[in-house]
Amino acid sequence: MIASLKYEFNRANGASDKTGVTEMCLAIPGRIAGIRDGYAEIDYGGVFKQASLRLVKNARVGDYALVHAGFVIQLLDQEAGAELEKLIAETRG
Amino acid sequence: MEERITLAHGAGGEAYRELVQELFLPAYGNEMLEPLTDAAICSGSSVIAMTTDSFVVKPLFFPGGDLGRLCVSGTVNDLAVSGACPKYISVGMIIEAGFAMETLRRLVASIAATAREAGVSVVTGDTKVVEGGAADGIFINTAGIGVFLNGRKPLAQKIAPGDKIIITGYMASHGMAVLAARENMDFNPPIESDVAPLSALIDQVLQADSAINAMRDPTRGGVAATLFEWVTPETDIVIEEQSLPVRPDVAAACAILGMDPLYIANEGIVLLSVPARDAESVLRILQSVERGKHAAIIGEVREGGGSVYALTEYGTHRRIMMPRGELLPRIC
Amino acid sequence: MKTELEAMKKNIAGLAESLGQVTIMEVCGTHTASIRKYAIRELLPGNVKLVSGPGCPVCVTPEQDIAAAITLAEREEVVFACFGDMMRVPWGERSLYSLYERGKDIRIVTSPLDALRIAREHPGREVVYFGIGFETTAPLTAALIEAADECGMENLSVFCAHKTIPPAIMQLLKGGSSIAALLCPGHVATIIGAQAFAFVADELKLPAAVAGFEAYEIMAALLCLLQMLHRGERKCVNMYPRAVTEQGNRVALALLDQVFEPCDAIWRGLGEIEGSGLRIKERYRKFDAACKFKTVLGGVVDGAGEAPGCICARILRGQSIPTDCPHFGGACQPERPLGPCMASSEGSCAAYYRYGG
Repeated sequence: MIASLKYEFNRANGASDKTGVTEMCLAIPGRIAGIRDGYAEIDYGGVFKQASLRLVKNARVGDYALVHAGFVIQLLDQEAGAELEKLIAETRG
Repeated sequence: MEERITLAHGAGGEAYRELVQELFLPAYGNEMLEPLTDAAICSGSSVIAMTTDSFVVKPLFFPGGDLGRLCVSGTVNDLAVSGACPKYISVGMIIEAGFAMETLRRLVASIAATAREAGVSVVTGDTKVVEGGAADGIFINTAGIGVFLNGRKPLAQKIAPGDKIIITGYMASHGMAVLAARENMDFNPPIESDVAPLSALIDQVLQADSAINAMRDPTRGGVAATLFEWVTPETDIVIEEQSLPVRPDVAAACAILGMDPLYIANEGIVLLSVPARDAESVLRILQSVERGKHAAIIGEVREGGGSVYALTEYGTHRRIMMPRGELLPRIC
Repeated sequence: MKTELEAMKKNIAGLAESLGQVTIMEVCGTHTASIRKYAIRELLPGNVKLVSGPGCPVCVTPEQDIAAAITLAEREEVVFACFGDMMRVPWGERSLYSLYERGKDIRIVTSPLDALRIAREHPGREVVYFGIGFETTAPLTAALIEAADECGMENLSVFCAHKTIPPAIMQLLKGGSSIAALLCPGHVATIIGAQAFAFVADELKLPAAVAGFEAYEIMAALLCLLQMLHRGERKCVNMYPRAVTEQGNRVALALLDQVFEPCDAIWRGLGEIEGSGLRIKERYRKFDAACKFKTVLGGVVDGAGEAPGCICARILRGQSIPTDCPHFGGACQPERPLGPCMASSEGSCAAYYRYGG
């Protein structure tokens, strides 16, 4: 289970899926590959596009970001795959 | 020659003659065009395939191609998927006065190069010039004639239950490349179109004498539109979503713009419906050619009631609907 | 992942057996689309029903705002910038798309910042940006206004139709309804935080789960809701922890507060809801298209009226599903919609149409 969730998380972040990115609403996850003048260069599995960092603090190169209409709206918690797994386990009781 | 197209270039006089002699003939040159008669005289077969298509694209030049390459490939591919060997094309242009001669020169060079690549001759043509504002730069119409060689027959274009659906390469690349270029999407590296004449690729498959029930180039409306043209009231087509080949950069662009690659236009791939027993061998032939190396079996035809389904990666079924209207990028 | 999903499917079916009819509402257009895209209904037992609430920003934009947008877009001096989503929403015979087809200068943008670029490129024209969307999108418009202010743009304004989700949920469900639990919108929660939906459990006494958009994330949230129903619990659980925190995105919230203030707003299908809209604050008023074009917009009334027989209002309240509508798929189709739920690609009707009813 851990493995499959991790896989799913990586896949959603464009890491290992053959199509690179899974459509996840229109906030799309990508990896911050560079930062300059308030903008991040976002890597969506090999294709890059800029996004404004106006709405987040402390973004760092290597972070995974949720991007909506040209803005990073949140930095993704990379440990949260395990957290959701825990939540599902709790739900099952 | 002048630097810009003027109304005189379409008036049939000296300027027109100059355009033909200095631009078109050197680029397209062949013995059927050169007499500049009212109609080209060409040899053929008793059964011919004929098609025509008009091309309007913004921008005229986009990563991976341009209007010139597009207008030849589109017509050549329409002939090739009917089982014919494309031989001759016409090039008719409607140009807005004021159009830059240098841009026209580049387009003509691209037409000539693509025609050579496809093995077709530009045997006749026409040029009209309209006043500024009456057209958007340039519109091109091409018509094409293909012949049936070596006893080949036109494809029946009828799918049958049990057929496998094969795609010859990544889908949606052309449509997304043009959209990204038109809307200044600033992807880095830019998304490249795969627009190309596919006659050589298709010829490989036809040469092998495999049974092919239907073949189409999924242009406007994308792969989904072709599947809807194929499905009959007695069949269903089921597509395995995970097997659909999409280039990673194209997949990313589709996700960002909220667009489904199934509905995006293609100009560099073909869909085939092949009886199951021949599917693997057709796939191997396609994959042995550079342009076909990402070919894949994406689904199959079943007995059914006229629906197209996608089998999702979760094992659920989603009905695919007929594409309608222009696709608009969305954000919400 | 498929086996994991199978396990959740079994769990859900087991829990549902003891529950009778369960209706769960989602209030996010993207949830509606994901549920149909992954055909999640196939994974649910027959007595678990999903209905869509007012979660599509295009669909809930009232007719008078569409009328105002079209009126502005028709003006000679205006370059109108909006998301593709709004283009086909009809106002009588007209839509932004019909103006675009007739050659009006309407730009489909993919980020509010595109409007800033267009304004720079066309100093002699008036660029109007159509601000629609919920808390996910509103901070982006706020950033546009802030940037326009910082560089002293004179020819850019925003026609602001932004709305906030919690007051609409409150209004819709406060009097009691057939809804047993709520799937809360993940990306709205990214901005306003999971705690912003605590009222669903505390005041409306309904189980709530903030959900992501992948099939397994939606299934996990549904499982969580059914478990709460089974146990009789009423909590708000964050089932989208990789993007949502309890407090939300403080930077975005601060910017929202800097640029906007709450106002009453009209929702299509729901009527006026107190404090559910966002208005541009006094300090940035010169970027408010409603003020800048006050005289132009003064005469605009929603004269065209909604299409006869259109049941979008009932659909937005979760009282009907698209296939209940006599026009669905016939007179009303995505490329010539009668109502907003078909016009928006995220609308319930468009989702039903695209992914099958």
